[in-house]
Amino acid sequence: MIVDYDRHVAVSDYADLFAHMSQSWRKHFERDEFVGSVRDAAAHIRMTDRFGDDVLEGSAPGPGIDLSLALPHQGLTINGWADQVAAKAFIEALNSHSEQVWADGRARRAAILVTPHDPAWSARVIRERAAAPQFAAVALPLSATLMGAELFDPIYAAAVECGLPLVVHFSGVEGRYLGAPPLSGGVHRTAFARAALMPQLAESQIASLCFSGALAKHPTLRVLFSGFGLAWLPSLAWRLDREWRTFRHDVPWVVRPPSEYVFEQVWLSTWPIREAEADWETLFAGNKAQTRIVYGSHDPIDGDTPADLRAALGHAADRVLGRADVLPAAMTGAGA
Amino acid sequence: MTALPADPVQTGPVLAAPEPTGPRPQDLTDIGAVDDFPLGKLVTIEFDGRTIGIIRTQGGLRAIGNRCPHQGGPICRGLVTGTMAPSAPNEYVYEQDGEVVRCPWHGYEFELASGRSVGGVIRGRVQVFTVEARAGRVYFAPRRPAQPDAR
Repeated sequence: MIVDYDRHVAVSDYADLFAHMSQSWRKHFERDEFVGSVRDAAAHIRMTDRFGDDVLEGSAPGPGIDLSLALPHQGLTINGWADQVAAKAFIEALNSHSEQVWADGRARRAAILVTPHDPAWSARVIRERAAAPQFAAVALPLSATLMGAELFDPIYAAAVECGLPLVVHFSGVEGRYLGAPPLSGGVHRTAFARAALMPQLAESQIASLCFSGALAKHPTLRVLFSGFGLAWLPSLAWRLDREWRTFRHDVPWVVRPPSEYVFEQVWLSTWPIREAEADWETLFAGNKAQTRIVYGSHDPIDGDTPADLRAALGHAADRVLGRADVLPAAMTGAGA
Repeated sequence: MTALPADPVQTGPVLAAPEPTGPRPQDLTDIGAVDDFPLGKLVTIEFDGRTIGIIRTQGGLRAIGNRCPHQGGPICRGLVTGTMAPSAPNEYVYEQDGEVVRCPWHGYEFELASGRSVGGVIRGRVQVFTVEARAGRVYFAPRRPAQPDAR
C-alpha cells in the first residue's frame, strides 16, 4: 500500500467555507480582506505563480497511490493570525469542509486542523472529530512556543487517546509573522529564503520534543514532520545523542539516547526528495533514520511522484513507499 | 610493584564497608594516613608510573584510574559531585552526592565506586581499584575491588 502523507488541499474561494459557519461568523468574515485574501494570503508564502494558481480543490490520490492524507494548508496559516478567536472559526470550517468534501473515509483522508494557541479547545476538537472516518491525523501549526512545552500536553493526550498521529507542516508565514516561530538569524526578505530554511523548524521541534521529555511522557505519540526535507535527520540524531551524553543530568527524564525516541515516534515525509538524491546511500544506508522516512508528494505544489522517488532512491524507494506505519493500522491494513 | 591490570571489568559499585579487620593482604600498599585524604577531595597519587585518584566519600574509600573511557580525558581532574536520578519531566531528583565524578573534557559522569557510566550514556567504565583503611592508614592495591555489587 502506498500512502501519500502530504497531499495539500485548499479552497479557491473562502466563501465556500461559509456553509460551515454560523450566520454570525459568516457575517464577520463577509468582507473583502477575508474573502479576497486567498490570493493575497498565498502571496505571503508563494514563490512562483504556480503556487498561487494551483489552489486546487481536489484531494484524489495521484496515480498508483492507495491512500492520501489531505492537509488543508490554508488552515496552517492561522499560526500568524492576529485574531486567534476568528482563527478557530476558520479552521473548524475547514475541518467541516474536509469531512464533507475533501475526504471520503477510504482512499481520501484528512488531518484535523487545530491551533497551538488554544490546546484545550484543540483537544476537544480532536475528540469530537476523531471518530469520523474522514480523519486520519491531527495537523498542528507551529507557534513560537516549542512543541516540547507542557502547554501542548492536552493536544498530545487527545491525539494518543484517539490513535491519531500529529502532522506538522510549516504554513509559510514562519519567520515573518508574530505568533509563528521565527527562523534563526533574523527575518529574511524573501519567501524563497524562508522556504529554504524551513528544516530549521523541524530540527528545533524534534530537539524540543526529545529533551523536554514530551516523547517520553507520551510514548505512543506519533509525530510526522512533513515538507521539511529529510537529509538532515541522521546528523541531527547524532548531535542529539552527543549532547545528551554530556548533559544527561540536566534532562534526567530522558533515560535513553534521544535518537531512540526519534526512531520510534518521529517520521519525516520525503518532499523534496531530490535534496537526498545524491546522499541517500551515504546518509541513510545502515542508519535507523531510514526507517523514519515516509512518502509525501506535496502535491499539487511542486510535488514528487512515486516515480520521482524511484528515480532518486533506486531500490530503497520501495521500502519508503511501502511504509504506512504512521497512520492507524485499521486505515492501512498494516498488521492484517 | 605489580603492573596495573589493563582494564578491570566491574559489575557495580563497591558497597560502603566497615574498616576491615584481620591481617593485611600482602599486595596492599600503604599510601598514607586517612587524614591525608580529606572527605570529598579527590587526591591523586602516582603508583607504578600511573596516576590514581583516591577519594574518601561518605560511603567509603574509592580509587579510580585517570582515564575517561570516552576519549581518555584526565578524569581525576574532574568535578566530584552527585547526579540527577531518572525522573518525571521537569522534576529533578539529586542523589549520589559525592559519589560521582564528571570528566573535565566532555562532562561524562561516572560512579566513583563502580566506574560505571551514570545513566548508561557510554559502555566503557573508569578503572576502579582496591583501596581500604586500616588503623588510620590507607592501603591501595592495583586490582579490582573485592565487593562489586551484583547489578
